[in-house]
Amino acid sequence: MSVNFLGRFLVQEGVITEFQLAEATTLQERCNRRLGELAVYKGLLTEERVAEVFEAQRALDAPFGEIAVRRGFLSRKDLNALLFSQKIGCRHLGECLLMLGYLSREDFALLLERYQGRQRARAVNVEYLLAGSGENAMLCLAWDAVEKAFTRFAKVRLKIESLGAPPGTHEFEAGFCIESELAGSGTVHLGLAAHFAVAAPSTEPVDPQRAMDYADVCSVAGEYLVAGLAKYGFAPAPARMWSAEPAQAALFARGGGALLFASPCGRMGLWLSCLDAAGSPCNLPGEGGGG
Amino acid sequence: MDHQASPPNSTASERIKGVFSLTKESFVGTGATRKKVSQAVHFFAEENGQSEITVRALNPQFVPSGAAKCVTREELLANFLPDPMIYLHKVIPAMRRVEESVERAERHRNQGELFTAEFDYKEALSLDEEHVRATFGLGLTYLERGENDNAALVFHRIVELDHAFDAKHKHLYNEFGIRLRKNRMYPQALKYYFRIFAKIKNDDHLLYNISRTLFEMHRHRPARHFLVKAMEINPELKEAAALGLVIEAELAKSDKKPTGKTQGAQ
Repeated sequence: MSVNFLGRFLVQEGVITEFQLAEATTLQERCNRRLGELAVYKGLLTEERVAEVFEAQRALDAPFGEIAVRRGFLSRKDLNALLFSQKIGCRHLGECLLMLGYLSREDFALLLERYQGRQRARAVNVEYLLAGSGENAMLCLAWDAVEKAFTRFAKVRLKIESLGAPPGTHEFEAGFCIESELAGSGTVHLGLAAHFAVAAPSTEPVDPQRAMDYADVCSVAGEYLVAGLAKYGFAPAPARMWSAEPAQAALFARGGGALLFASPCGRMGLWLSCLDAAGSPCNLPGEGGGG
Repeated sequence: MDHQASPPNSTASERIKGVFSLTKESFVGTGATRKKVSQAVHFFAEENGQSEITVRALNPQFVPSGAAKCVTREELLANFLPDPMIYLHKVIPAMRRVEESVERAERHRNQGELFTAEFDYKEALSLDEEHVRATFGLGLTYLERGENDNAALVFHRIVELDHAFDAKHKHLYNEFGIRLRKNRMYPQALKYYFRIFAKIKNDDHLLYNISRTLFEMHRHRPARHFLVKAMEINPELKEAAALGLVIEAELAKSDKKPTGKTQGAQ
């Protein structure tokens, strides 16, 4: 498991135990309210409206608040006030450990500095990482879609670990293939696979509005990818998705770029490629080979 | 409760300071179920040196919050009832917690411990969402960490807070504006400065800061306009003189450059 995340870092450093980490994560879940929940709590939105915005967000790649404002459910002023309230109520994992007394203030400051230093040293910037890839813009789009879908619909933060074919698809347990045809330009294939710990919550969604299952989140990522392609001037057909073995997902999206990334629960892999009408790997029309 | 009836030139120990309540009566229900209900609304009242009494509502955490209203001693005593128990047992501890959190946060920020500072500012703001010092502090913390998105959230909050630009917060609002500019958040910096300008027209430093921001946005003519205004108020402002030279040099350069139109004519 990656040490990209603070909790894992602290466990590996021996500062906290797994049990303390789990407790802090639970407290964090309780503190960090979603914008819709907060809007209902403050009497600015009804639960029906929240559900409506949430449903719209599945197909529309925009933040919850923006959609609510566009639909006239919230004023810009109310949205700003809500975002501020959300921000001051939001607790980072380190803050939760401090609140629970598992970290002292001195340790908190010191450890966070060390963690941040380490993060800066290994920070991976997607554009930089993809600069040498022929599928540069496409892979950026795919990453953007996947990251947003997981943050919004599964409350899972993702961090890129490396670029290139992820070694050993055997470490992944669940995979999905997403396909969209581009009018006259071929077909885009996105393969997604995840470690069992990421895909596992899919069997028991806690609350349909708070936690979607893995397949659903992947399907939203597909929708966002298609919307992103449309913004770039392509005419993609609606995405088609089916579950596959991780190895198949990787094989299906052959010849393109790949990203390996981490979530607090486990690693994930993303493969992406474009096939021409004859089924051969190709760059997207209008995209340079050098990225 | 430090409350005694006192003449206008009262000493500090005689000044009014405490919680007062106002009972509001209203009717609920209709017909046979209609009944009268009364509810106490609590306010924090404080008398300043000039015998003015400012009244602020208590938020659900029993912290005086939001903009203050001025009332006379007679109005206060005629319309409100003192509530010393709430003041002693609820308000004083809550206010102390807020102030302690803000002080701790400022200490951490001064020591460059920006994550701990954020935690303490948020603690203070969770008790009093309208605390001006904590709001500025949190914004400055994000700006110092280079987190412009988070800083923008705080920026939107600050421009909505009427009492953020009171004279007593001058050093904070100046620092925040300068930080916005240094983080290249130019549109926000300008909006922020003009928000203050709508309230305070004759602050030489504010006019200078507007000019400096416009200059960095390469808007040299309006930058000169505001610099001239700053220097009219304070001709001795050294930074303004230096900026004036640079603006004039830039304007001279752009005047020398042939425009597309003249090039085409040649």
